[in-house]
Amino acid sequence: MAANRIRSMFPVAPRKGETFELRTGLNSQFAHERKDAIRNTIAAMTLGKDVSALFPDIIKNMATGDLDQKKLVYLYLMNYAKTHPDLCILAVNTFVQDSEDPNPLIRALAIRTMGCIRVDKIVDYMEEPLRKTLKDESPYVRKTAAICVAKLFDLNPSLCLENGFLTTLQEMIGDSNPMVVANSVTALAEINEAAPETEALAVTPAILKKLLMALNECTEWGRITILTTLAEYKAADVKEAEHICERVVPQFQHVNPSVVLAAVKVVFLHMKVISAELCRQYLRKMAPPLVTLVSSQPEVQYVALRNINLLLQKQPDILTKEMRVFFCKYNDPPYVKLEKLEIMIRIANEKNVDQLLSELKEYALEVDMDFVRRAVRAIGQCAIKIDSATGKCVNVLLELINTKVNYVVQEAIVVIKDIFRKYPGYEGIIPKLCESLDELDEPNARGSLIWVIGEYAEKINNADELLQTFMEGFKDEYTQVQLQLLTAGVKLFLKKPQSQAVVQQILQSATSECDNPDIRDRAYVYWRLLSKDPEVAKSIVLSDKPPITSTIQSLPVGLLEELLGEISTLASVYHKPAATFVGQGSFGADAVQKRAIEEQLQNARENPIQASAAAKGQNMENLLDIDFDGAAPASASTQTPQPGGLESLVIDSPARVASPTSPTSGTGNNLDDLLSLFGTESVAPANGSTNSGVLAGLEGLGLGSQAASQPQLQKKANEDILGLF
Amino acid sequence: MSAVEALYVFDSFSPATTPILQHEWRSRPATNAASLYSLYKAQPSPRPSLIYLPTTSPPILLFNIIHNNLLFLSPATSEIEPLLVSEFLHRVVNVLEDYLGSPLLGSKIEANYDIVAQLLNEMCDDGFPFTTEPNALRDVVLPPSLMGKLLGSVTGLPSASIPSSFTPSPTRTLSTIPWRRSNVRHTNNELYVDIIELITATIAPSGRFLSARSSGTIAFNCKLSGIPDLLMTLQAPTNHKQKLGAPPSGGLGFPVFHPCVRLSRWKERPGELSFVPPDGKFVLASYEIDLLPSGNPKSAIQPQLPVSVELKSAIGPQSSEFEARVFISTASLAPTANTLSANPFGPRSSRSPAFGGSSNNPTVEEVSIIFPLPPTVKTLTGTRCSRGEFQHEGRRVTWKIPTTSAFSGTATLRTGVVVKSYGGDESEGEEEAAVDNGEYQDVQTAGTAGVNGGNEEEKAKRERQAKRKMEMAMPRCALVAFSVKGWLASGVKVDSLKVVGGKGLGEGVKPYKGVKYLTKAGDIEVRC
Repeated sequence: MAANRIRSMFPVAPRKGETFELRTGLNSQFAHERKDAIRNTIAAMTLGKDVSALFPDIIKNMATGDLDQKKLVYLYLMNYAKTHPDLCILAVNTFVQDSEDPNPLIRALAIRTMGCIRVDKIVDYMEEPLRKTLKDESPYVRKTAAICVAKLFDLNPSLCLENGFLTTLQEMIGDSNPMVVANSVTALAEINEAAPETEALAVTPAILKKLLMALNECTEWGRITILTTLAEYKAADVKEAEHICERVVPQFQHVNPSVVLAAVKVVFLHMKVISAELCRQYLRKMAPPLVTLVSSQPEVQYVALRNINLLLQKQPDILTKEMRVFFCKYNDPPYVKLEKLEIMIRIANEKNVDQLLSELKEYALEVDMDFVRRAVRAIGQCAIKIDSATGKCVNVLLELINTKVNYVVQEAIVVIKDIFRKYPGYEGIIPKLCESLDELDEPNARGSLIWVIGEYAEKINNADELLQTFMEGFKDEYTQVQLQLLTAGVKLFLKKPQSQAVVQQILQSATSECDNPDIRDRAYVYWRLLSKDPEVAKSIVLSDKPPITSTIQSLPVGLLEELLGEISTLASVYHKPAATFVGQGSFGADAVQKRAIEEQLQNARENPIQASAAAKGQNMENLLDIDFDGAAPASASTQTPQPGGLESLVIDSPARVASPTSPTSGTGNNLDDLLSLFGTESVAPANGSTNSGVLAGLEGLGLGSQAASQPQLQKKANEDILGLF
Repeated sequence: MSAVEALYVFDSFSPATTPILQHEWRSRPATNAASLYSLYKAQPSPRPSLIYLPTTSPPILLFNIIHNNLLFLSPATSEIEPLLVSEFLHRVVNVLEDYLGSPLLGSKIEANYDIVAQLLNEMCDDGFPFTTEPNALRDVVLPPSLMGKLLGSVTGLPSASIPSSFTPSPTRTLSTIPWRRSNVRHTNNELYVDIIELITATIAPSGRFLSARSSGTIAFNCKLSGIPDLLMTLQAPTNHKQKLGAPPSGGLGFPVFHPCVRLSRWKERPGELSFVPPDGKFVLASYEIDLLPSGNPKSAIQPQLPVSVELKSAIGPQSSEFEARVFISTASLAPTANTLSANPFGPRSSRSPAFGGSSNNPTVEEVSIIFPLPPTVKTLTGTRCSRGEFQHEGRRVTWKIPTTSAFSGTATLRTGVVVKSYGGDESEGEEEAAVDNGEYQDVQTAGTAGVNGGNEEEKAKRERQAKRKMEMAMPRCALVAFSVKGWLASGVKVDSLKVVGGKGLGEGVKPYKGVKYLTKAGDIEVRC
């Protein structure tokens, strides 16, 4: 306390007098004064003060029979060994002497401190003591020496190899004491990571056996190391994998959550190769420990939730019976609530959906706006995930709309739009939606409602009036809403030709009053389309849209597989490869690009239909080039897309992570139609329509919904890559 | 490779930004303690236990836990297992408490820097956590000795002058059992078992349980000489057995054990814990029991809690009041207690006299109800309660109900809510902005609605809004807290506890054994 007070009085530099006092104390002729001075020095050091100036005086006190004092001196040395290694070299002789002390604690301290001195010169002195301590009779000394080998390797790998320390360390995996085994494995793992070429920790069947033996006996931290090693090990055959799983499963019952999660990781990774029946058994066994993790302290909870989220993306049915564990509590921090929601949707199925829905409805009535929105969205995701529950979900959404809470209504409408995109037959609720028309002020909600009106124009008697009300503020609308309005107007006209006035008004304002080229261009395309042949327009605009299959966000397969290998680490918490957020070197743009390209290539390989559709797309693009500005050579298009393509890739992949509508292949037809259309129609489009503008228009044209345009974007990216390689 | 890099401890009340303790296991980190602290403070509350700081170079992940106003920070700059670090921090706290005495205070750390530094060095070597068992640590680091202090005060000499042969030197033969130190000697051989359960539940307005879990901890305080071998048999009441399903768990839901427990024995005979205990206090096992039978909350026998709450909101003339009615009754606990007494567990049933409730007569204590208030609430008016006292502080009302030993009955609290004035707060402002005024008026004028009609519509709308506002100002749930001594929600009990073997404990010595049960409300939420 006193030290702290003094410190706060002189916050900048340690008081000169203080160091002086300590020095006097250290050189005192009385043993007890010296010892107290050492104590005080340690205190100052622990406070974070620099007492390295006292080094020579401390060293004088090193040669003492008093064990306590010796330990304290060693504490001092240890601290400065890390930060001022050059000073510690002065004490080397004492280290060497002490490494042969009869007391194992002293021997261990000596070798540990030596390992911390990161100066080349120390290496020569270290050889002999290290060799001895590695063979020491006391396990306490041996385990300390084992870690020391890793420290030495870091300093001078070749010397470590020449002296056979690495081999000794590998032999120590067979040590009789499990603590020694654990530390040897830790040290080997460290060496292996620093220099994979040494194959320091090559797991052979013999070593595997030893590891599994030690697993049940060593400390919890040792278990984590062994489990991590086991997780990285690729089992030679099914039998071995089964054996590993069997031996690791008891670790689920460890009190340390880190051990539990590491064990889950091992079993999960080795489960891939074992038989389906056993696999199911292990999945069942995995549920209780995960549940326990979720209901432990908050810091464990969040990590557990993030990891569970990953596991569920691979194995969605691990926790279907445990829905209740994930119910949000009033006191949960917001990030935990959102994570729980996401998990609940993932484990929703026909059996537990009722339970989930009543819970979600409860959340939707809370006050926290973000959470409420997320809950409403979750109801929609449920409806789209579980066919049989759609009716119930729609009812809940209607009830929520009846609350007239502004943001609830808006979110509900956005969600209902998605439901319409998958399930026909809920047109009955449209009047209900239109009632809240005045309340909507968010572009997403307005756009969604307009889309619904356009899509079901034939069933809504006053569709033209409704659109008219939106038209009044057309100029002030968000682009997204304007585009929807445009498409909805065209749909309305195609379905009810008597409402020509509306569509004309829309097209008129879009072409003459709008500054946004996207909107103008789309309006022109529509206009031309309609004036040419309404039947063709119908087959394009009113074509069947591919139904959406899921609105639940998932990680791309490649990334997911990578992260599953990283369960229980930081990467699994942030759902990103570790290199992207920690580490010295920044994760360069190159790497990001490379990863994105690999991923797209992978997609192209897995999905030949899509790729071929994309190839068609390229044809179309070329044709368009020729048609629109005949002078431009077709080959230009093979060059120009390259930079643009990569760019769109980079932009595309995060966007897809953010909101992946499942890629569909049905849109190819639309494009073909368009292709033929433009083929016959050789009239150049009116002023200033750029290629990109037309393309953007096409996207919206074919799909009618802003979200659905993503697959096409993706295809474009695919195609560009195919062109690249 | 995962390594704990450093540990900094701050006094979270002190304005100073300097740590009261800093210990670096690896080389000196690039970002110093003070700047870490200010970055930590810059984060909005509630702060997650793992904070990502991308602005430092290299980027840092900051692990943090708060214990008794002490803030423990540990930075990481490379990939590491987050649970490992947070668990390690908890262990550091436990060990320091064990050595320096609970509660752990900044001043205690400051007074014992030499011990703390030794401990931190032993617990983690080169960033790898290693010895975290208090028993194993006692073999290598001496606790601040009472003996030394006593002698020091008598002789007037500083403690250091006492010859080290006086104080027990760390044993040269280190214990072979990692969790038990060698040469344990006690004059009184005693064994205390505390089973503590925390109930986490969500209760629907109807009183039906949406979820109910009980997480139990079997805490041990073992003061036995030598190396005793113990056998404890647990029993879960029969009515829980079928719903707990898995027989191998022995009715303990999903247990996790201290490493000393022989897992194979448990596997063969569920319910039997065979172990050589560590010396002193430790947690033998913990378990989770789902109080609702498998998956179907409707058909289940509902779990009985001694305290139940009924919350009515939006009542009164302006529908601006809410009322909570609390029922406290130990009667529902009786059946469980009876079955317990029907199986008397022999001479061990003697309990420490300081302990109030017995399993035959459980008592409810520390009943308090917390109502979290939404941000729109300005103040409360006319609050009255039939028992106990209430306290309105910030955005929550805490109502404490005193209970005497045999109290059972009801208590009510009723209060009016005053909402913040219009536009005076954020969420209302948003709601106002949400109505696009320009457009709304356009529609009004475009429509054929007369002036009167418009007014009525306006009025209805205003009323609706007012009602809505009132609804938004009502508490959405009540958080219930209580503790019951002598009763366990899950019905688990200790059937027997025996010393079955080992050495060092004299032949005729009969250790004193005490068992107590305690159930606490961990997080019980009653919705309305």
